[in-house]
Amino acid sequence: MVLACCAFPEALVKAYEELDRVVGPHRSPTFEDEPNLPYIKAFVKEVFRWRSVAIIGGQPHAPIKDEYYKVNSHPLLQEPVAYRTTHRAT
Amino acid sequence: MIPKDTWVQGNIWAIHHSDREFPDPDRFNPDRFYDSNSPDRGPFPNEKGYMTFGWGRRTCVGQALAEQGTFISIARLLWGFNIRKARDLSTGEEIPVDIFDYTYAVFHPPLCRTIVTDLMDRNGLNMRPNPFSCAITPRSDEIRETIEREERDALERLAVYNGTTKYRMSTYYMNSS
Repeated sequence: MVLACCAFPEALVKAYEELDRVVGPHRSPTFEDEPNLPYIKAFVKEVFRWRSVAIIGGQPHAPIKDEYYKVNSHPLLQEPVAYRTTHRAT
Repeated sequence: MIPKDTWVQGNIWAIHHSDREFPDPDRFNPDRFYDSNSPDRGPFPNEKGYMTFGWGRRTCVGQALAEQGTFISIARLLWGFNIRKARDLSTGEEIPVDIFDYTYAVFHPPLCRTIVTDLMDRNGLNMRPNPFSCAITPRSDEIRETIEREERDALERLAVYNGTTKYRMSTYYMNSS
């Protein structure tokens, strides 16, 4: 987030405007402000998108038998992938 | 064909940097999520618009905590501080930052699964920026005074917990330095 602020200062203009308007200088923002800070919420989403901490994500899965995807009438998503390997590993 | 017992994981980097859903994907641009009709954002298969915490039943159990904590941290950092590039003290020039200088450096798409082992050897599956220079200053004197006042208030409120543990903030700073 700090790196984004340094590299893309134009993203801060609306953030500062919104915080000055909704919160002002005499108190810091709280969770009660959240509904009134749509740009800050968008900013947080963009942080999650732009640089996710985990770039390879989700719980690891493994098929318990050979799977064929987009090859025949047996697409991966119709045949639930089981979690046996994951459980064994953890 | 995906052979039995193959380790399969989602490539969040590639999903989040596909220019079909996120035009000009390397640009940090909150407008993508600010305006639901934003031209900077294409259709996305979930409501939140990102997949940072995984999918389905085995999504991150800490997701709500992380989202709330990130929201309040970012809201307060932005409310309180100007965050910008540092300047070289001798020349006065801004010191450039590199948005790709992360603990795993080779991550231009396509990220193929063969590099997973390499990722794990180096830094685990998480990434963070390598150290960089920046300048963080209170946005105004009024805001600086508010921060200092709220700090005093917080320490007073927390004083009832004094002595409940031997651990102090100073312990943390000692360990981390």
